[in-house]
Amino acid sequence: MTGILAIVFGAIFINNFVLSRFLGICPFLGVSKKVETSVGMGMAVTFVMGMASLVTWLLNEYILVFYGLEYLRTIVFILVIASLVQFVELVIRKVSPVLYQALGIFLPLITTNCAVLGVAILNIQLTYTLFESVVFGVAAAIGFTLALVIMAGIRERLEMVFIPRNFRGVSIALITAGILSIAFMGFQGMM
Amino acid sequence: MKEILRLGFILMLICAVAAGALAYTNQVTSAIIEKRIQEEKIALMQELFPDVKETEDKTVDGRTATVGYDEGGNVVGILAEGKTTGYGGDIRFNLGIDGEGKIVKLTIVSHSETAGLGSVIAEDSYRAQYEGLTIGDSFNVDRISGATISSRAMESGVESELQEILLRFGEGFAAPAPAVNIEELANGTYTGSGEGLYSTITVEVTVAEGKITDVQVVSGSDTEEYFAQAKNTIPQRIVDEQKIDVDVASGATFSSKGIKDAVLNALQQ
Amino acid sequence: MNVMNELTKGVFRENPIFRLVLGMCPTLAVTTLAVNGLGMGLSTAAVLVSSNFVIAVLRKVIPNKIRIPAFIIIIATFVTMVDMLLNAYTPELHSQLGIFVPLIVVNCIILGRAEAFASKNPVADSLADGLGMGLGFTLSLTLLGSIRELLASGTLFGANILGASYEPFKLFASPPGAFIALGLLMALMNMLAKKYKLE
Repeated sequence: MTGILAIVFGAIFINNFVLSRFLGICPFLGVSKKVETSVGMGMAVTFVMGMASLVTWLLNEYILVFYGLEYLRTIVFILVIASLVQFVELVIRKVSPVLYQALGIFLPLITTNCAVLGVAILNIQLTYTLFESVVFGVAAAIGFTLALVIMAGIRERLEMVFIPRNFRGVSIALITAGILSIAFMGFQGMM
Repeated sequence: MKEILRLGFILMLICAVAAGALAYTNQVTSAIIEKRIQEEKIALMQELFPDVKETEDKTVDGRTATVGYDEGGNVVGILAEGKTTGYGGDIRFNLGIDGEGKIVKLTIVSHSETAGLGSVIAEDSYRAQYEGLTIGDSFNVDRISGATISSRAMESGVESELQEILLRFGEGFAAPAPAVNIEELANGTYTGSGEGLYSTITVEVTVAEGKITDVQVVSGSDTEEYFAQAKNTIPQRIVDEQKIDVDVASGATFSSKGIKDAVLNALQQ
Repeated sequence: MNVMNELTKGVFRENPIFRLVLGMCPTLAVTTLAVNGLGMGLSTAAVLVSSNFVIAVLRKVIPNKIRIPAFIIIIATFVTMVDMLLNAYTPELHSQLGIFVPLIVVNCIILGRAEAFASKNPVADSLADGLGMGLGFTLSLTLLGSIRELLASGTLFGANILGASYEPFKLFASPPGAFIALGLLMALMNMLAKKYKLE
């Protein structure tokens, strides 16, 4: 049980996917302008990352390793994630139009979110079990969402202050992320 | 329908070509990668343990280690990975252990300690402090100021992982110095000495007709309580069992060892 | 002339990092040392040139409806090849770049160039485009890596530059340092772009 807790705490705070592992920076910089959209994106990513962890782990263990095809890992994983995103989009559209309204626009963006492929590969590298992989996937996505929402909160306020012209846009966003990353370093050593 | 089939066919064709190209690249590179890893391993083993003639990868209880053997098939070195939880997450390290269970080399495989503070664990001067340590030694090395948690994690981690590794792979270590052949000894009284806990212990050993007939502790000043225990049991055991490597007296390990070493020292002269 | 134009636009006008803001993850993650930035840049450039070439050659054969999955397969194939070659011939670099080698697959620059350029233009132009973008990416990563390495340890490509008396600014070796260094560099590029009217 402590192992699982350590995975959850580590993935959300200590080695936060965005602020310490640098995975999922593109949506972090692109989407995190409003708190509302950040929450939507975060939910969609959490869903896909949990599913992707489950499916890629099973595929890796029972097909790739079993047949000695580890060298096809990258290509198989990215195809699985792309199809998964399409599938999730279809299902959500059929099952819950409300949810689709909320998440729909973010889903196509997720395929190229490196956090998803990243978590699938990390699960294999860290030799996690199936259960640990899914937990890690979901926790990592929660960490991603947390970073996204905090960032959006700060950027909403940044809109209202004067920023030197050359620093506007991505530049100030990166520096803000740097300060946020320093704050997250404070979580180190809590384990 | 026909359209879908056509699209599927084209996509399958691309997949097949891609898989073929990858299979070919894999075939070419995997041999090189495999060879390089093996060569690196043997080179590292030979650097750490010059006597190594052959290496073998072993797995015991979910742990793998590379074990090096000398010409006689004795274990002269073990290379295994260990892990501990530091300040920023897992610290993975490699331990090179010689045939006597001593650490010859500690290297850091990966860590995520704070740059400039905890990251000092990866530096040569810090790692070198662990060289020569074995089970029973104190693992309290000089701590890194400002990185107590990283330091503590390394100290306890290296010690416990060394134990785990020796437990699994420690069998078949190089045989100790050849035992004295008691039967061939000439009659007479031999004197020798060995190190106890606090003092040098001197013994007189009497040999008659190829047998140890008497062992007398002449001098030594270990803690009286324990020393007496060792003095009362060890000489008797040696005479009874006609061998030097007898069981130690419980609670008086070092004094017992001192007496045994002294007897060995006497008879080897 | 056209080819030359495609070649240079990636370095300046449409620099993938500073102008288009694409491929941020590897940019931040691997630039702790100049040599890692260079290695990552060259690996990405190799994939970009190869995939641009193949996609431009096949652009009339691949049906429009399945072009995205087809592009992904082609890109993933080249990425895996680069991954294997790095592991075989430059093992140290391979372990330094770690997970970010397979992650070249999801680098937006590559799929972006495939979709926006190579699938619509002739082979020579696509090659030049890939080369230019790859070069721009490599230069940017090497620059960022050099700055971070210089500040964090006073060295450049491992050679000591600032002397023994330099007190290392270790922050720049850590994750926050990556964000801040790139943020400052971005502001500087904005300034230069305005000055030389690249807008």
